[in-house]
Amino acid sequence: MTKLLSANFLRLKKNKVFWGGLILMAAWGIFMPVKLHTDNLEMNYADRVEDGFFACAMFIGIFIAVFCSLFLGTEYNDGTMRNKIIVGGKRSAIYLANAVVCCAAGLAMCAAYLLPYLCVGMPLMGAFCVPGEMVLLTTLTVLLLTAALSSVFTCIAMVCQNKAATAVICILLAFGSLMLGMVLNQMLEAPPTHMLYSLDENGEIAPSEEPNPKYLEGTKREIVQTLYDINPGGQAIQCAGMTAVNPLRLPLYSLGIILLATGAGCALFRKRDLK
Amino acid sequence: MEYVLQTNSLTKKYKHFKALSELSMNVPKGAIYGFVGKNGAGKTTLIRLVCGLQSPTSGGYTLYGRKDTDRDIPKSRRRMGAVVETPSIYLDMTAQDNLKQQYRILGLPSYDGMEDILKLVGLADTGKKIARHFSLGMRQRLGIAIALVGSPDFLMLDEPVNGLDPQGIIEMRELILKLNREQQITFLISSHILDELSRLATHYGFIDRGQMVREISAADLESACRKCIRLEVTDAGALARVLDGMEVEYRIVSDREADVYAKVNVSRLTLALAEENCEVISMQERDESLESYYISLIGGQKND
Repeated sequence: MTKLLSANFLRLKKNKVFWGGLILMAAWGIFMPVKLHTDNLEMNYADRVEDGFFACAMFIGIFIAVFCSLFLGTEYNDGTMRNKIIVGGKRSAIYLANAVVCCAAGLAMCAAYLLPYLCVGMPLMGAFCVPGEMVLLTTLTVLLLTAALSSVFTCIAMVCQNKAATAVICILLAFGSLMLGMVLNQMLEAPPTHMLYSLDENGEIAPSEEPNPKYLEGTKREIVQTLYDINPGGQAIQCAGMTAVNPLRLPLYSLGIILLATGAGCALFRKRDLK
Repeated sequence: MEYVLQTNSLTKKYKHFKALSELSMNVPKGAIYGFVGKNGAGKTTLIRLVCGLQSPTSGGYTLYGRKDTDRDIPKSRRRMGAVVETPSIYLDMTAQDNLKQQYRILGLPSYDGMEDILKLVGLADTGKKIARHFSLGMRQRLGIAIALVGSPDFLMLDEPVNGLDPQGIIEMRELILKLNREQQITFLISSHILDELSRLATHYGFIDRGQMVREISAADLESACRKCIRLEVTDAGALARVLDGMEVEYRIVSDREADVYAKVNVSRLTLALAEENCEVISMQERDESLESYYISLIGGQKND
């Protein structure tokens, strides 16, 4: 597998999509704290350094979806996957080498945002106001989320042999996961009560507080919360805002996704007839 | 005879379609094995199976004496290279970078010999030009260059001259012959361009509808296809005696027919036969090519 990894990393080094993603993430990592700082100065906002630090979690999925589908899709499109199998490369090793390189690329893109953000943001806005453990835990969650997304997109790209179809599926999935996260977030954010306004006998407006029928309780709330926590899009929203209700569970769910996607992808790829 | 590849009742089904049906073939070491069949006959399917891209439905094959079910089959595959359908090259990379990839995949410690391979296939001067801008012939040669990394001793080429211009076809032929003669590489070349194949192959395998119709060496095929005169006479025995007397090479086809592999003086032959009370009924010059042999073979199968 080391041979395949060496070949993959050599290709990654020359891959334009990877470098494009890296440059975009780095530029965003510089722009974000500068923007927060100028807003603080010009509009008297009180944004802190952590307010935009994990914003990359929201969009890293889309970057990885594009990267994985193009990087791995090329292997099928150009037929180069065959070169590895013909000379005796084991399918599981080929799969894992591809999974590792995609994960590394995703993590590098994440780092390309986080590091410049720290370097520019801390001198401008000072140190983190939240506890260090929380920053570390959220960083770990974002990195594991990146690895989980890479695993899912690698699985799709390795099983689907059509580059264009892979790109469409991965990008739709990345957006779909975020949308689902937003819908679940809205469901969970619904307040327990809401105000109703009616006219009394004197024709005056009379406010009254009523229970909100959309407020989720009991098992229903637990199910939605679990779905929100498992769904990578939901995790991304929670990381970006540092609003996780179960911060310790998120990395575990990501680990589960990594194992499941890699196991299933590897098993499917081993049985697949290649053209 | 030592064989590089032997298949045994190899069968491959795609849902209800049988692409290969109990195909058995033998590729001798050092041969240029021409794998002949029309489109859809199952040539590419066989190559895909041997390359490990797909698994057989039933039957199996032996590569360098190792069965396809053997755990160590990757070790045998390490000794082979292949260009299946289109050349497997990264289009956004230069020829050199493509070769570097293959060096890494094989775990070779250095890029030694890379320039030699590029020279051998005539791509040493491509510089920073990426493969996307290569001509079809150049891409084909780059595909072969990649297959040559790691010094394999068995190459499988699927339709290597498809789409090439006449110059490209000549270059490809010369390259294959050079590799076969100088580096003793065994080739399995699938093609339906019979004229081209006849200039290369030392052995032939004819496939139709997933079945091996016939395997024959080029020497046997040549004798079967040699230019000759087909004589139809009233007594083949008398003809044999006369031809023996004239010291002419011939082959008795039936009790009334014989093929004569030499230029004979027709008057002398007719007079000699007349003395033996044998009449000449007809004379036909026959010049069977690989193409006509193939047509008679595959056509014959169809009529069965």
